[in-house]
Amino acid sequence: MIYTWIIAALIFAAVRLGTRNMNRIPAAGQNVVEAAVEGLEKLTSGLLEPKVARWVFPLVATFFLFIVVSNLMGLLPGVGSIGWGHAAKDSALPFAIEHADVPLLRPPTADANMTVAMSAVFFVMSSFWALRYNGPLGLVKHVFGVKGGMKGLIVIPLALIFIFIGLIEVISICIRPVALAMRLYGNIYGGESVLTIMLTNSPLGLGALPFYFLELLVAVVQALVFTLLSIAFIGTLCSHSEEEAAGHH
Amino acid sequence: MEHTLQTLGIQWPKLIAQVINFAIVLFVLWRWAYKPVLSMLAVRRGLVEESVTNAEKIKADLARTEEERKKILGDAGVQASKIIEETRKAAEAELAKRSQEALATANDIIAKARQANEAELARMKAELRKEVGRLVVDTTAKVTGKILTVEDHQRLAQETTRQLAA
Repeated sequence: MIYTWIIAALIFAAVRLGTRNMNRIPAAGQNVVEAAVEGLEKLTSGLLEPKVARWVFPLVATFFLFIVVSNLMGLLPGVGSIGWGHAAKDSALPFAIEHADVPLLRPPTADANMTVAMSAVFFVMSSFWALRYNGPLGLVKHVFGVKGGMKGLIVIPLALIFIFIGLIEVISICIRPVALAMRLYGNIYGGESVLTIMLTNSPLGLGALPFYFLELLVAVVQALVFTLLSIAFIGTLCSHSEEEAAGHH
Repeated sequence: MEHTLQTLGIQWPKLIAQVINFAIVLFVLWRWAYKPVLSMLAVRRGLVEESVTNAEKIKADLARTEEERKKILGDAGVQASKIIEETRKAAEAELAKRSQEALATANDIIAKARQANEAELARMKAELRKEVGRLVVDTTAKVTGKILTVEDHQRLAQETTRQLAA
């Protein structure tokens, strides 16, 4: 929790430094913030309808920035390894412990509470936007409706099939936040565990070095995966592409 | 369910606190990062669009000016050729007129000179006759030793004049 606040404060400080004196010709800090925001805005608007992209952008951009900063800060020495635990018996160092059972600082994304919290926010907001975009009846039609522009008597048996598919879709919608939360938590927690094992079980901890590079990559990739999947999931609920395609036929 | 949450370390108070933390981060970023940056990007995009529009307008104006310049130069060339041609024709006409006038003046001068010459010649001839008549009278008087009368004078003069005219 403390580390979440530290990361939030760091993000806040970076943003304030970047946007304190905004000019048409940007300085270094402003350039960084602008590049990040513009890149994420283009990513979002490239995958969603303009109206939906405007609603969704702040949330998915925050997902990416918060997760990437958390993941990278989780790789700093001492994070997850300094804390309270059983005292090391044969160590010459004072206050040495076998393993930090209660670490002082933990990366928020290696804590299921944070990943589940973000997924919960995603679920609530994506449901709200789906209702806002389709309307209550439109959403039901979007999930359970017969797709493919079918007309006539064929619609009756197809409707039964599509109701069944809709039920699967509802399960899928409910599983999405769980998948998002567990994917991120598993990857970061797993990476942290690998680093700890390699640090404690290799000479001078050198065995952890290649995994540090791997985890740097994973830190950015997982943030991107969480963000892109959030956009894609919202896109499936807030689009008329199927209806439009059917309309064209 | 409860067991799974416990295994994952999920606790409701922590979960709610993290939702609040994330909401705070979202608000901070929305208020102090996304809003001003997107506004700035919109302003800059507007400026770029305006600059591109202006550049295209300037390019079109330049092309039109170049076209007008070429047209003016072409017109000026045509007009200059016309003026030169007119001037040449006027000069030729003036030259012909002046030549005619000079020729007429020269002919006039020649005619007047001829008339003056003829008059002078006639006058000189008359004087010559008169002088010759006087010489004939004087010579006759000296040769004959006779004093000539007025009638003799007239007769001799008329005779001399008649012979000289012949």
